[in-house]
Amino acid sequence: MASLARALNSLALLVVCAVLLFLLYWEFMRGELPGALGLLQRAALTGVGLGMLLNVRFGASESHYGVILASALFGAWVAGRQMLGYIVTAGSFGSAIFEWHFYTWAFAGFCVTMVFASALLFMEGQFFEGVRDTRPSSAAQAAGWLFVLVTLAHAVSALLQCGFESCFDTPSGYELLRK
Amino acid sequence: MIVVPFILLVMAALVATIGLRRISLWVWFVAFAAMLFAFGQYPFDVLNIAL
Repeated sequence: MASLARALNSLALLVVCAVLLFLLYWEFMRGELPGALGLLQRAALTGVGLGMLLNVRFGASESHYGVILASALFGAWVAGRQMLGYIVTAGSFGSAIFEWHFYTWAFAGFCVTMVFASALLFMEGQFFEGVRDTRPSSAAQAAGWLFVLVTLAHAVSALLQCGFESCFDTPSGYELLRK
Repeated sequence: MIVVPFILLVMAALVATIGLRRISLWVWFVAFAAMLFAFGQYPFDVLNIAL
């Protein structure tokens, strides 16, 4: 049971890394910068990935799932706020992929994440081993470093875009590079 | 201010990867508080009027 839960967490961590890499691709190759709420959704997704990384690296723990669920709930909250804002003003922001905008995908994705984490919590056998700091497998270590690098890339992007000030709703470029 | 949670999340991921679990959880907790603070700065006027 523990190995199955760890495998599912590893798979989910790779999916989170893939989504974060896709967002970087869209930002740098397509030139679409995220707004302030989009950046917060990215931070929430990074929090989800951190919870999965903790499960993969140290074994399953209720607090690790707490990190996943709290981050996903926050992400869904922010994405829902953005969706409702555009419904009220009858507008939209950014490109649509398969007819859904990024914030709509984000809302659906965070909801799926909450269902996924809740389902994994039912696998009680994974908690019997407890948390331990053993030497991780090379795959888990590689996934961890990939996640660190992707998170660092997003942090640098956010820093270039906003500096240490508030971000614009509709960004026009990297503010820090203009100064 | 949105960059602060990102920097903290990088630190949390880094210390988790090198094996410091409890510190990682505490750093995530601070990052989460920073996210909530950043979201709280965001205006809700349009929604308040509409809903």
